[in-house]
Amino acid sequence: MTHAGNTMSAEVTVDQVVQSLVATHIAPQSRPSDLDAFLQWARSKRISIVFVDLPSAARARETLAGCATQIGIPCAHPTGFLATSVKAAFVKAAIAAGVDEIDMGLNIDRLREGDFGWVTREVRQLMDVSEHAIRLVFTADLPLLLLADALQGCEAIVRGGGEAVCTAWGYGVKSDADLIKTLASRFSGELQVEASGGIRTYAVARDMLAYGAYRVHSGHPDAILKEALDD
Amino acid sequence: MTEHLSLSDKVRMVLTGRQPDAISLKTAISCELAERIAGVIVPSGRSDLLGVGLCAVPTTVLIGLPFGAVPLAIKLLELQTWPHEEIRSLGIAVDPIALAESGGEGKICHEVLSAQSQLVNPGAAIGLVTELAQVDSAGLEILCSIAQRCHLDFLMSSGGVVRAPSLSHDDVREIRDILPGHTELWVVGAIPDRAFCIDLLAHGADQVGMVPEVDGARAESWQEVLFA
Repeated sequence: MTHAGNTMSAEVTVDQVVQSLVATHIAPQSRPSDLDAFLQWARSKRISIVFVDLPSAARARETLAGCATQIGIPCAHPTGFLATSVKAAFVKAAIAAGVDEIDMGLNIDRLREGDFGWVTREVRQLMDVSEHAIRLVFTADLPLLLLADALQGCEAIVRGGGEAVCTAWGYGVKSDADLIKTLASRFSGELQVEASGGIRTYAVARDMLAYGAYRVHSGHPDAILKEALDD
Repeated sequence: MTEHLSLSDKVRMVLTGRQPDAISLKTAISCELAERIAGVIVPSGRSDLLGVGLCAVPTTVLIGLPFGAVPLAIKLLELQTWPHEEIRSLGIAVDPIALAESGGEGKICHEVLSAQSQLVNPGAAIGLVTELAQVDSAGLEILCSIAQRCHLDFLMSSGGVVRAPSLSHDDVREIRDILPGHTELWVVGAIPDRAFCIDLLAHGADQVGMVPEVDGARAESWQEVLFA
């Protein structure tokens, strides 16, 4: 990664956008041919990190052998409604599968109901299980929350020892510029803020980085990349 | 005739999504309404709802959400996080990659039988969950074959986690025609009103699941759908 993140930057280069792009392939009815095409595309474009489902991690590792491309998986998306013990098992399984990163779903109802102590305890347990052998990015649909709850949720992540937050899962939930600016500013030096949700164009991806996002997630990385290279 | 038809034993409340009003839904579960529907469908991670009265309602627990691409060991671990005596029925989300791959049928059958062997309640129903509107005809044939081989009790058309294309009544009729008779078809999500609900049932759906997020159903509108 060349982009430091969480610092307002007036100039974001094409290279920074490309390096900061998290390409995701998580779909309700993904077919093996779709997955293979995505992985081949990621390999040809030297994408920094791709997200696939855990059972496809081995296939991704094989296709991307010899590349610097990292592999991430989602867990408990998009609601976070999974017992902490199951999330912990996911972390262990991902480490065993050679996965580099997990977008870990936080329980949206606990956040909505203000049960931030519970969130902190879960984050701490999962960070302990990870033993820093894998990067955990705690993820929730923050745009669905009151801003005050989103901020307290991020504070709960920090208190639990978490180091990164991702702002949305997508599936119709969009992060806006104000949210990214606010989080990047408020948690500068404490939490890497990854922008996700509704990022479909190069301009939006570039702006999110300029507002202080550490990385941008997109289910439409090919469109962003094409625009970036045309820019 | 249909205007006075009670749908109480045909409609389930699906609580797998990002409902904007979870607190009122919890209230709905704990109130009289919950006793007047066929059941509630929840993800394995919502055992907290047992504390607000869910145990009084026939409960279907789903494992492997959102889209089934979860290793079997994790799915079975999910099952262990629930008090087994509270599980009236279990839905297993199907990995779409497995469904499309050679040998996938055997793998999915193995998942069903593994989960079945762990259920302590021998009367618990077991079924599969998939985004059925996006499954092609080959995938549908495999699902029907699994339903036959594993004697599935139901096939559920969506996990209700995200907005997905809905089944039309023609889809419902076609699927009903090829599903084994012992396997119920549960149509979930995108149920705009009571008329559509009745239409789906008339075309062969055995149960319909309403997702508050997708269907915009708040506690008060359930009354209208069920008892208009």
